[in-house]
Amino acid sequence: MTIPLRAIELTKTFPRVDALHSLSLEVPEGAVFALVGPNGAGKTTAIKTFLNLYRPTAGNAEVSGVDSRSLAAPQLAQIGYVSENQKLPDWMTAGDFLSYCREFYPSWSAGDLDALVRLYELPLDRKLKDLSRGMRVKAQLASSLAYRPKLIVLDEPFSGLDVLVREQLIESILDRTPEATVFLASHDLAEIESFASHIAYLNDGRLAFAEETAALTARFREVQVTLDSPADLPADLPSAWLNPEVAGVVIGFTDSGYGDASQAQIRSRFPGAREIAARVMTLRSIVLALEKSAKPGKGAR
Amino acid sequence: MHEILVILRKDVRRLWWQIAAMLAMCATVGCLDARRAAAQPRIMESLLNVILPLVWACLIAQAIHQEALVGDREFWMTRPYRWPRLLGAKALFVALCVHGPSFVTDAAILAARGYSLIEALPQLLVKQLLLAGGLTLPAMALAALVSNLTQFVIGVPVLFVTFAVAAGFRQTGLFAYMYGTVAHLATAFLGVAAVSIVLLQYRRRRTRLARILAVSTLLAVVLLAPLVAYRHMFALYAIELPAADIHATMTLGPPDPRAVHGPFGRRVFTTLPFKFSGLPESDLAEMASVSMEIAAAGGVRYRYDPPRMDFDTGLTGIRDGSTSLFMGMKPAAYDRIKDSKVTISGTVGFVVYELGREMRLTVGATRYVTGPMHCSSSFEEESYYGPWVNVFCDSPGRYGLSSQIGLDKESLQWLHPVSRRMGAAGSQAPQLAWLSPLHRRQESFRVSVPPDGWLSEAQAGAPIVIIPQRMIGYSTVSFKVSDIDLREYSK
Repeated sequence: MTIPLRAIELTKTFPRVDALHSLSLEVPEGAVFALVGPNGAGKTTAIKTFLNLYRPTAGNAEVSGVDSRSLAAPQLAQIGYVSENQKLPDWMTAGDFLSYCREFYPSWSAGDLDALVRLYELPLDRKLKDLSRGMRVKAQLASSLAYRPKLIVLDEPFSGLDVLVREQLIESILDRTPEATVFLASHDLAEIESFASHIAYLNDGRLAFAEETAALTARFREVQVTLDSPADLPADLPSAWLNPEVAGVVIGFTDSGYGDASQAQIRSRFPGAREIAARVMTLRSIVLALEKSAKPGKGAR
Repeated sequence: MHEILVILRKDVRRLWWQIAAMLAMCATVGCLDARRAAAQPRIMESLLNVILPLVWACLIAQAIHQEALVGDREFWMTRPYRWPRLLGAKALFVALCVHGPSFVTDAAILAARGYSLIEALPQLLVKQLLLAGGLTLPAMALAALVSNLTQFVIGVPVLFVTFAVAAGFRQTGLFAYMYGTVAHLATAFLGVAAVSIVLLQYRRRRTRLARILAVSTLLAVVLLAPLVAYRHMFALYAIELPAADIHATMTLGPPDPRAVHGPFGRRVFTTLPFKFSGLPESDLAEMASVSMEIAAAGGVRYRYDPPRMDFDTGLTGIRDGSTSLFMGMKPAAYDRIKDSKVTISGTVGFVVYELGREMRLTVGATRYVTGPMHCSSSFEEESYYGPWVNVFCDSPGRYGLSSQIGLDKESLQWLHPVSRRMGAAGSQAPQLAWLSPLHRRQESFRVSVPPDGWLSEAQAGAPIVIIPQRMIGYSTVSFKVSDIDLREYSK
């Protein structure tokens, strides 16, 4: 089985910025893989390196087993890429743009395009420069989905779009899975939580984690231990317990390795616990906990 | 081919009004050029000769920038474009929108002036090659290195200056560059460098590397071109247009008392009369340039081999197989060597012309005389300076630049060998309208003022003799004369 995207010790530096530090990850076939992180984390750099818009400084990026530096028309014909800041031929009408793109893809489906145009309610006779941001993204997406790419790469495609448009676009993208693999960069955690099958977190060009969304949310819990009387934090807490804090008789922390044995482990650490509450965390609160526990580092693009 | 045509169609659609404006300019240039029966273009034509190449360059840049190669946000970069087809589409655009109109315009001008297109085809194709090396390929390369038209326009003067330096304007005049071997070599050099950059950018999009290559090329040209010595340039001339049958020798003759010599201003002049042997009798040869060295006792050496010029030198024309080579030295330098015997060695380059069949034209005739060049004459009585006879010739080849025009009157011997340099003897090279496929030549004879005294013959329809003269080759001859006492040639 070919891995749609793989980074091996991928490093990218610019004259004044270290954008990616030894990034290693694999995107499984059929996944909806979200690369998340704050602005400037290196998400766009990673995507552009995968697509041969940047050359790696060190390490390798592979697309379907092909080194990104050797990416050519046959591979690009299987990739649909949509980015919020791509320069489009704005002088073309949406219809002309789609007709023009059609000529480059042997697998282009007129039926699929018609369906997408209807779904997105694209005004084909209007010039791209006159379209709203949402419509521009729709036009890009239509031109990137009509040939049924095996890999869909999206760089912050939904930022600034209203909820309805966003849902519409997400739905049309998910319709392409699992035949297609989706690789999505976003800084909006709430946006991708509902549909991403895998999540990788990038900060300062460094990968904090990359795993299935279900596994991630399953292993993180916000734990609150209520004691009978105030006590200090034990000195040797497990490393998986992040950001421990004491507030009177209440001790709180994030357990990043929550499992069947966790309750027993907590009780053994806090024998006088009156109550132990372990709450499921949202992706946003997981990331916040991780960021809080992380050491400060250098900025990235 | 399908992708090439798709991209081309898109570019033409995008740039249609620029293309239409450019075609209108070509048509205007063509009309003005075809109607012009004078060497000097009018202001509109001169202006269009400057503007049209800039319009072509900008059109090329805009076409290239439809799929800009610089940056990482261009939509096409993540689409399955095949670089040879993308480059093919751009090349086809340049061929159709620049070379095509240029060629058609040239052909229309020649046809309108009665020339055979079949016969003129080699010249037309050579011009397109020069246009490619000097304009379209460098424009493509520059456009491939920048991301927008503003940057491109800023880069154009840099290219122009480089080309002018490479073409050797220092020696031949800024606007004469189209007509020399060095200019051809510079064009070829720039063309090859441009092709390398274009291929590198289209194949790899390695902008930084390509920019380094471009800047290195420009610097190499600017720094090295002025250092090319005359003798090397003449070697190049001789390679391009070898006058293979000529094996001339030069021998020093006795001092000529009529020659320029002795102290004059801040120089001491020495004139060396040389006799040529082995020059062709049927053709015409003209001295073009010289490089030489004077070696004296004590290891003193003075050299004239531009850019090194320890003294001034010059040549007179070849008359009856003889020429004079004069040297102007600073008094201090002259004093160092005047008392010892010196050895003078060097190389003289000369141009060989083929003389064509003599043509005759009656003064005042407006009809064209056909042949390798077309000529007409007109009589202007209302001229500010009084009555004039104008003789006007044009030719797709180079006949017009060097041909002899004169009145067939034994007593006056009106046979002017006209210099190839612009402005000399009333002739006009096509530099002011360099897009023209025609070389034009105009001679004006003042007919009302003595002592010429041929006014009556001219008005009576005296025939004008035109001898087409075509440059067919360069040759060099080396000389070395020893035991020369400079004082004998300086007094």
